[in-house]
Formats: sequence, structure tokens, C-alpha cells
Amino acid sequence: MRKPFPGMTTMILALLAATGVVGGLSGCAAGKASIPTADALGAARGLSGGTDTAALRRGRAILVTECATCHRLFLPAEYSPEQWGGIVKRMATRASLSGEQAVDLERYLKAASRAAK
Amino acid sequence: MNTEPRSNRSCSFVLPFLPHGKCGLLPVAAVLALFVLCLGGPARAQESPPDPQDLKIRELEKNVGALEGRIDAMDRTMASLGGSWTDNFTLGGYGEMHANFGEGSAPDQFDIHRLVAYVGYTFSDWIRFSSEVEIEHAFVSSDSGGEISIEQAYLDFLLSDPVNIRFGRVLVPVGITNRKHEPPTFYGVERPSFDRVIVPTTWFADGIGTFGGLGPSLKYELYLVSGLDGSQFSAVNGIRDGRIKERASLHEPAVTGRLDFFPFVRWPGPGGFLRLGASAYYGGVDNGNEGKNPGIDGEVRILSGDFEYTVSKFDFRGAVAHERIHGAKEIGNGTASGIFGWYLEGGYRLFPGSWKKGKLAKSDAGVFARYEDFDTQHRMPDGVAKNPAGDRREWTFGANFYLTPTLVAKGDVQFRDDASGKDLPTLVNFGIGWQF
Repeated sequence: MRKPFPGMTTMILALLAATGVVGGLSGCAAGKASIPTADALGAARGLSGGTDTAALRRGRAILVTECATCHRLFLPAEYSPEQWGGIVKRMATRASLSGEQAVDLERYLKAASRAAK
Repeated sequence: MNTEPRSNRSCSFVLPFLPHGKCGLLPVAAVLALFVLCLGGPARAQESPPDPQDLKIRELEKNVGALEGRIDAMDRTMASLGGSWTDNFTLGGYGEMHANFGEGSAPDQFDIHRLVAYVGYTFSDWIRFSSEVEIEHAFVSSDSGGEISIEQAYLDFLLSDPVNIRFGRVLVPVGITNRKHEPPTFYGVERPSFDRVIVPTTWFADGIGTFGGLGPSLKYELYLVSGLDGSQFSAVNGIRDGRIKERASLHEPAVTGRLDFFPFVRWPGPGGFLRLGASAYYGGVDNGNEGKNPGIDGEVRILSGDFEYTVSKFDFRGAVAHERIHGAKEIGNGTASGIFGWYLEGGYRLFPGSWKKGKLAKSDAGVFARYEDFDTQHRMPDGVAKNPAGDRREWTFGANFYLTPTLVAKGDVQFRDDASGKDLPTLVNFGIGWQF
């Protein structure tokens, strides 16, 4: 038989509750998305859709699905647009991104970084 | 499959009259930008709506943006194809050093736990090589715990978004930490214990497979790889010692794969990042080093789920795995027929924004709590006694301080318990880890 682990159930419940409550509250408090959608960015830049918005949409998808696979998700606002250029160039090879994917990612990160300033 | 170099395609599309490889788009962009500025003056002066020149300016701005993108693409492709051969190399690495202190008679030690080098090479815009070579515990000899191993060495053939081929030594894509194990990517000095005995990390295997995206929010990996050595399974360490690190037998290969769903790709959600993953592993266990098989008739099947959720300053992650071992009784060593475990972790990044200046401009800090419940003796074969030491629980509380995003100092305390009734020493750990 297991010996009792003091407060285990209580602490698990507390952690789960904290996850839900904090997640919900911070979601409400976040307000401005930290990873803005392509449509939101496009609207901010005065784009009316089409190629530019599509490229931003692809870039955002790459950020979410590829970058955070190997390390924590760095938000666009954490680096300047100039810094993102060098970072993407260095990381694209390591992440096995194609040339077009790297360009889409860089355009999204630069646009979102500018928008966050 | 299209193997045509991207730079040629882009050049001939944009400026077909330019010589091969001479992509003079920068001047064009500059001229367009100047043109935009020239148009801008009169447009502002006449303020009568609707002004067709405003529309023209907007159109030209879009064109300039598009040209900038093409220039970036061509610069990158030409750098990889036409630059110095050294430009095609990618170098990187990670490492971690720990100080572990145990209550009572538990050993206190300083451990240069891992020192890892990444080397990659780009053969073309669709063929790439990646590798990871690791030294553990600083010294390697026949009677030390240290080891040198190649943890990854594979070629990627990038064919299309949904189908790409990977060949060589790959990471088994089960759980979170096995694929994402660089110190800045996780809370705590040591990896979760779940990731030591339930999904043993670092777990690699040799084989071939495919990976890619099934739409913008769904990714997959699927491999046929070398299997585990069932003769090394045990009561307390589970399948961990069954990993074959040298010349893996291909006698009974395994199939393994995973699916990751990113619901916030299209929907921003509550300002965060969410990944939901499911993974599986199935294969025989009659494998050994140098093709010398132990002669075990058995199979192992693993089903696992995991998630990562980051919202505002909060980080959450968790994983669960169930393992079914057929032939456990024949394997012996107290091997269970069922292994089960899970963990849940919550963290909060609390570094004030007002402190992020000067040397601390890129710094961050977070505190976390993690609960793990795992049992390598979850279900026993008929007639085999359960070892209660396999049934464990752990609480870990600690903090990470990121001097830069990829250099982290860590500290934590671990309270442990098992079903044997013995008092397991509380552990206090400090460490520093990096990735570059």
C-alpha cells in the first residue's frame, strides 16, 4: 500500500483550478493577442487581403507549428524587426524550413514586431 | 517533386531580362519606394477624397512589400547555393551543469550532465543533414557512468508540405521532452522523472519515415525504426534500459508516430499558444546490439497524449502514457505487463517588465510546480509479484531565471514518495543550462 502523500489530492485540485482560473483570467486580460492573426495585422497595415495577408497567415502558422516544436514560443514583440531577420536566417536551416517558408515566417515576425511597438 | 532551384524560378518570374543569378530587385524596390514618395507629396497637398493617387500609393506599397519578400527569398537561396561551402554548415549546441544535493545519505554531487554539439549541412534547398552528438557526465570509461553518443543523425528530403522523408537516427516522437529537451525549454533542473522511466529520454532509434503538415494546424511524424531490447526491461526502470544506442538490431522493428494539433493557428484564442499531441509506438522487443538478439517473444505498445499551453505569463504542460508489454513474464526481471504514468506542470513568468533594461533587457524569470505520478509496476503478469518501489509520486517546486532567452539558471526542490514505505530523500537541485 502507498503511504499517504500529504495534501496530494488538494494540491492537484488546486493546480488544476489555478490552470483554469488563471488561464481564463489572463486570457481576458491579455486583450491584444500576443501572436496576432494575419487578418488583424493586415487590417493594421491597411492591407485588403490577397497575397500579403495570405503570406502573413502562412508565416503565423509556421511560427506556431514549427518554432515552438523545439523551444519555447518566442513572441514577435520580444525582438525587433531587424533582429528577427538574423534569427530566422539562422534557425530556418535548423528547422528544415524551405526558402519560401522562411520568408513567410520572417515577414510575419517583422510585421507583428512592428505592430507591437 | 519539384527540385528546381527557387532562386532561378523567382528571378525569371520577376525580371526575366536579367542574367541568370543576377537578381537586381533592390534597385527596383528603391525606385518604387522613391516613386511612392514622389506621389505622396501631391496626394497630401490635395486632400480631396476620393483620391485615386492614394489608391495608387497603397498599391505601390504592397508591391514594394512583395518585392522585399522576394529579395529576402532570393538572398537566402543564393546564400545556400552560391556562397562559400562553409555557409552551408549549421553549428549549434546545448549543455547543462547541475549540483544535486540529497537529504541524509543520498549523494551530493556536481555533474556536467550534458554537453551537446549540433552540426548540420545544407546540400541543396531540399536536402539537409542534421546531427546531435552528446557527452554525458564529463568522463567516459568502462567503469564510469559517462557516455558519448550520437543522438540524432539524419537526412531530410523536403519534397512538399505534406510529405517529406527523414532517414537515419531520429528521436522517437513520443511525449514532450524527448523531442524538446534543451534546458531553456523546460522548467526544473532535471527532466521530469516521467521522462526518465515512462518515456525514457533521450530515446532515439534508427530508421526511415515521413513528416509534414496536414493543413496549417495539423502536423505529423511517422517512422519505421529499430526496436527495443526487451531483455533489459526491469521492474523499477521500466523500458528505459531497453534502448539500443549502438548498432541496433533490425530483427523486430517498430512503428512510431505522432499527431500535433494547433487550434490557435487560425483562431487567436485567449492570446496564447496551444498544442495538443497524441503519439504511439508499437514493435517487437527481440533486438540487441550488433544484431545479436536475446530471443524474446514479446511486443511493446505505447499510447501517449500531451499538451502545451502558454497564455499571457502562464505556461502549462502535461503528458500521460500507457504501455502494454506482451511477453512480460518471459522477459523476467520483474517486468510489468502494464506501465502507466502522467504529470502536470504549471509555471508563471514573473519578471517585471520595468527590470528589462540594460544587461537584463532580455531576461526573464519563472516559478513552477510539477506533480508526477508514475508506476512501472502498474499491471503485473500472473504469478509475478509487484515491486512497490516502481509506484512513485513526485512534487517539484522551483524557479528558472533566464539571463537571456537561451541561458538559464535553475533551482528546485523535489519531494518524492513510493509505495514501498521507505522514506525517499528530498532532493535539492541547482543548475545552469544553455542553448545556442
